Amino acid sequence: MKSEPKEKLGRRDFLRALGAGAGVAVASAAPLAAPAAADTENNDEKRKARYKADSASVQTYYRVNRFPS
Amino acid sequence: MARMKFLCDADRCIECNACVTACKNEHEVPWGINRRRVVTINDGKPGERSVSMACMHCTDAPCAAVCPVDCFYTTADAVVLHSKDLCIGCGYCFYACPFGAPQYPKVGNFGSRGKMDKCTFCAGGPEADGSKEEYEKYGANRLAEGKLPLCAEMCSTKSLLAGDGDVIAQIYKERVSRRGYGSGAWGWQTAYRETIAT
Repeated sequence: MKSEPKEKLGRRDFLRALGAGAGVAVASAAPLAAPAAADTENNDEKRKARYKADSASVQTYYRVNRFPS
Repeated sequence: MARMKFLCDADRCIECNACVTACKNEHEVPWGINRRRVVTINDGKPGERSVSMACMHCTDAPCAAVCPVDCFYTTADAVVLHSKDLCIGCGYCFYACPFGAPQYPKVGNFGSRGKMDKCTFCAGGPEADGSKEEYEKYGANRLAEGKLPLCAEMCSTKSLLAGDGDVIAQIYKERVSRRGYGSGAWGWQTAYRETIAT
């Protein structure tokens, strides 16, 4: 009886090799261009008032909305 | 300290959707997300009313109350904002909000949600004012530029009011005292006959 030829890379070994290869590829990849930064403003800065009541745009808006209906 | 508020004068809204378009254009809001929309009741019938709706920037915001990662905060101008870096897209705020303001981009299969997106009162978010990061995540920061939300500034009939709550309440009060309201408004009987009252 003729036996199946022995494969060079077994089914389970194939996946193992694939995983190892991917790990090497990730490790050797160039580092990210810049570290990810989240919420660059601190607690006080992000809560500060930004509304400018005296700006020309805001005053014009209030003025035209007061036109008689 | 001024408290930022929206107020829609329903007697003036003509459902043109310019506010919706202006908002989407100003902030480059992606497909499927509407930070603002116009709701019409009794559409096509006498007494039809349209109201422009978005985040109402509640004083005691229910979205903030239910958020499991506490990503919401209220600014000194009483604008309710959130951090997209903290948001996990759980959707609790959507269920809590009585106005349906929180929106989610459809980023993947199996109903997965992306980061929540909502009206910012054109006040950006927790990134440096006017920065590229702020614009990409939250849209334009018009408040820091000395402007008011574009939806209100674009409103052709001056129906949508935005700004300091005390000031816009005064403007609305003056309008109502001058013209009346609903069936008592000037020209109402001519337009809708005497039999229709709201």
